[in-house]
Amino acid sequence: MKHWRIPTPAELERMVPPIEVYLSNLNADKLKKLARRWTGKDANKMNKEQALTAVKKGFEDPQAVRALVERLSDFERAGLGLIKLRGGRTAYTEEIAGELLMLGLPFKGKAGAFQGYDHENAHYSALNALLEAGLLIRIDGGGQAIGRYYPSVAVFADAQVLAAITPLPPQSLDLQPLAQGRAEFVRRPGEVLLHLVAFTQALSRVGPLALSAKGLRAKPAVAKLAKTLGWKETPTEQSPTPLPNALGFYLSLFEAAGLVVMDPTGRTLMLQQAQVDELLAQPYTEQAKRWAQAYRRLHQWVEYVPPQVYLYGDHELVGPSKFNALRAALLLGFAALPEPTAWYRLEDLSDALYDRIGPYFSLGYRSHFYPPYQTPPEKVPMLRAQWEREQHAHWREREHAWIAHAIAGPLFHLGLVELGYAPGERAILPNGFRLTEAGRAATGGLFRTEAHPAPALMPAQPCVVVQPNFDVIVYLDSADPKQLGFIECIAERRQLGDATAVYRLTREATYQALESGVTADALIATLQASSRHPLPDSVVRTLTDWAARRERLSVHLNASVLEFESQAARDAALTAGQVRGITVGERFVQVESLAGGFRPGSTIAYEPALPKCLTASETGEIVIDPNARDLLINGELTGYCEPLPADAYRWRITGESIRKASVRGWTAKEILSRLARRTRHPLPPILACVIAAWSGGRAAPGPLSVPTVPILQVTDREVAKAISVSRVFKPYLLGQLGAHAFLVKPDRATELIAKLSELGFAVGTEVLLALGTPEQTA
Amino acid sequence: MKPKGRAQPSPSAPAARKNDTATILHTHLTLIEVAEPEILQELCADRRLGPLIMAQLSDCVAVVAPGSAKEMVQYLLKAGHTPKVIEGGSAAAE
Repeated sequence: MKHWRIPTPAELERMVPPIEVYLSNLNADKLKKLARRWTGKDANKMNKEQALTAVKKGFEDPQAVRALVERLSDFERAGLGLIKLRGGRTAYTEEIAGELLMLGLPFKGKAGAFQGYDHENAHYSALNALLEAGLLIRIDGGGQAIGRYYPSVAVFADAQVLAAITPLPPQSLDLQPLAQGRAEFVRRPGEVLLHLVAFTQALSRVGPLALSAKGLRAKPAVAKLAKTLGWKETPTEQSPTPLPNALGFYLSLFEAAGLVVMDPTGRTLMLQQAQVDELLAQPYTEQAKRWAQAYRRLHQWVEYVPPQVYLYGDHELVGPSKFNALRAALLLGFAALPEPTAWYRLEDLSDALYDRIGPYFSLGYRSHFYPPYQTPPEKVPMLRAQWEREQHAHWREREHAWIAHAIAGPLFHLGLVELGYAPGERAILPNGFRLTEAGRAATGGLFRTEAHPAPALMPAQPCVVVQPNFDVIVYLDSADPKQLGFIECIAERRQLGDATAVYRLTREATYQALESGVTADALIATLQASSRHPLPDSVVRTLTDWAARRERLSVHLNASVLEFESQAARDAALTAGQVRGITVGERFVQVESLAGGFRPGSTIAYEPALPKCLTASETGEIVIDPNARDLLINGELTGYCEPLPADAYRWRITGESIRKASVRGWTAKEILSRLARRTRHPLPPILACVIAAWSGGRAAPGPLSVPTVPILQVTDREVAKAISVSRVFKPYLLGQLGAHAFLVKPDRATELIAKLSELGFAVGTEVLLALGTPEQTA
Repeated sequence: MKPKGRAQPSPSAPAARKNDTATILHTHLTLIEVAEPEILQELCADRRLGPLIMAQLSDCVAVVAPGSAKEMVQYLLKAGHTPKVIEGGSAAAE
C-alpha cells in the first residue's frame, strides 16, 4: 500500500510544471500584473492574450530577465536567493515562508494589517508577496495565494530568473554579543561523526525498516533498531542537552537528507549506503550544510512541544508543519548574527526572532489586536501596547522554550553550536551559545560568494592506540568514518569523551564482527593499519584464538543432505559428478549442488512442517512408514517410545517409556503434540488419555473405579419411580443408575431381597438386559 | 564413523545411476558441525542443548530440531561457544 508522503527535493524538481501551464491558469488581472514587470505600464492596456505573450517573451529573453532582476526590490532578490541556495528551483512552502519573514526586509503585503478572519495565514504573508509578484509559483501551478485552505507543498521560481540572482544574506539581527562566554558543552565533529556512523551501522545491520499500515515507522522495527544501537533514553527534563527520542531524530534526519528512502512498494525504509559513505567521507564543515538542510525539513519528530501547542498523534508531524518554518527561521537567524564567532544569550536571540517574525508567526494561536468598540482613540495605543506585551509573554512561553530546546538539542548534537551559561546565570538548559565552525559554514557561510574549492576527502591516518588490556583508544579528530565504523564493528564502546572514545575488544564483539563477514586476517590487519603503535602480541594472539574458536563449531542453516543406501552408492554418485558436496558419515553428502539430470528417489522437506510418517494404535504401537522415514524420526521417538527389537520400523509407547520421558522433563502435552504432528491420522483418543495417565501430574485423568456392587433392576418404570422416592428402600440403596436400576449397599443386599419378597415382588438373580432407554444416573 | 570431509570417493565404487530411487534428499535442515567428536558429545549431554539435537549423521555432524536454529545458536553463545553460522540454501540443480 502506498501512502502520501512529502516529495523529496529531487521529486519536487521533477514536479515543476512548464511555465505555459502555470501562465494559462492565471486570470487576466494576474497576467497583466505579471506583464507589468516586463513591459511597464503598457501592460494595463493589454488583453489577456497580449499579456500572456508579453510574459512568455520576457521569460525567454535573457536580457529582459537581467533587467527584471535589477528592478527587483531587495526583499525580492533576497527571497529568490534563498531558493537559489537550495541548489534547485524549488523550496518547501513552510520553510521558505519562515525564511522570508526572517530576512528582515520590507515586503508588500498585508504586513501588520488586518489578516482577514484566519490569522493562521499571517506567516505566509511574505511568501504570498512573492507569489503575488509572480516571482514564485505554486508547485501545483495554481494561481491563488497560499493559505490554510489553499496549501501547496512547495513553490518554485523560474530558472532564468534564478540564474541572474545573487543570494543576499538576511539583515543583521539587533543583538548584543556577550562580553565573555565559556563553552561548557561542546560536541566535536569526531563525536558527531561517531554517532552518525553508529546509527548507520545499526540501520545497515537490521536491514530495511518496516512501515506500518499508516505509513509510519513500525514500532517493532524501531524497537529492534534501538536494541541494536543500545542507546538509552535520557530524561529530557534533567538533561542540559536534551534530544528526546534520539533514534527518531536520526531516522528523520537521514530521511530528510535523502539517505533513507522509502522502497517503491512503500512498505520499508531503506538506507542508501553509498550516499551515506560519500557524505560521511567529507569534511564535517561540508557535511554540516547537508545536515542543517535536513534538520530544516525534519518530519515525524519534534524537539519539544511547547504549552498551548497541541499534537494529536504521530501523524500530525508526518506532513509539513510550523516547526519546519521555525527551524528554517532559526537557521537563517544564525546567518543574521552580527558577529558569527561571538557568544550570545539565547533569550536575546529569541527576542530578536520575535521582532522579525513574531508579528506574523506563532507555533500556537496568534491573536490580533482589536480595540473594544467605542474605545477612545487616545486609549488605543495603550491597549495596543498591553496586547503587544501579552503577545511577547506568549512567545516566551512557547516559541522561546522551543528555540531553547532546539539549540540545546539537535543543533548541539549536530555540532552546530557550543553551549554555555551567561555569566551569573544558571538553569537546566544552557542560556548562552556560540556557532561552531561547522555551524557558521552551514548558516552564514552559505551566503559567502567566494569560490569554494572542492571538498577534500579526509585521508585515513592512524587514529587508535590498542592497549595490552584490550582497551582501544580512538582519537576522534584523526579518525575517518571508515575507521570509526570498523572500530564500532569489532569492539564495544565503553566511554565517549570530547576528543577520544574508549572501546574494548571482547570475544563477543569480535565474534559479531566475524559473523558480519570480516575475516580474522582482515580484522587484525585493519586494526594494525589504524593503530599508532604496533599491536600488542597478546592482543593479536587472543584475536587469532577467538577467530579459531569460531571455526570449531558451525551451524548450517537451511542445509540439504542426500542420503544413499550405502557408502559405495554415495561414492559412485560423487565420482559420476551427480552430486557435489561434502561427505558426512558413511552414507550422506551435505549437498552443494546436484547435476542437472540427477533426480533423487524422494525428497523430504523438514520445514515448514515435519513430514508425517507414523501410524499409532490405541495400544500405543507406533509404525514408521519405511518409504517416508526421515532422519529425525528415530531420535524423536527415542524420547518417549521403546523400540521393538524385531522390527526397526516398529516402536511402542509404554508406561515405562512415558515415565522416563517425564523424568527428562517432557509433559504429556508435549508428547502428544509431537506425536500428533508426525501421525498421518488423528491420535486415538484413548491413547491420548493413556499417555496423560502414564505421565501423571495435573494432566492425568481423574480416578476410575470398578467396584462389585449388587444392582437392583426393575422392569416396570412406575415401580422403579416408586422405589426411588420410597423412604422404606432408601436405607438399602447407594444410588440410582438410569430409570430402571439402583446400586444396592453390598452389606444390605440380603435384607433388601427379603424386604422386596415380603412386599410381594418377585426377585430374581439374572441380569435383565432389555430395560427401556438409557438415561442419566440420578 | 567416518568423519566429515571433502568428497573423496573410493576408486572401486560402482557406476551410479542417473535417477537413483534409493536416494533421499533431505532439505531445510539445520546441521551442527564440530571439529572434534568430544564437542558434540558435550553438546548432547548439555541440559538445554541436548534436546535440540535430534539425530547424529556422523561423529561430528548432527541434525538440530527443525525451527530451533535460533534457539540453538543462543544457547551455544550462552554456553561460551562462538558458532559460525552459515546460511546453506536448498540444493540447487546445476
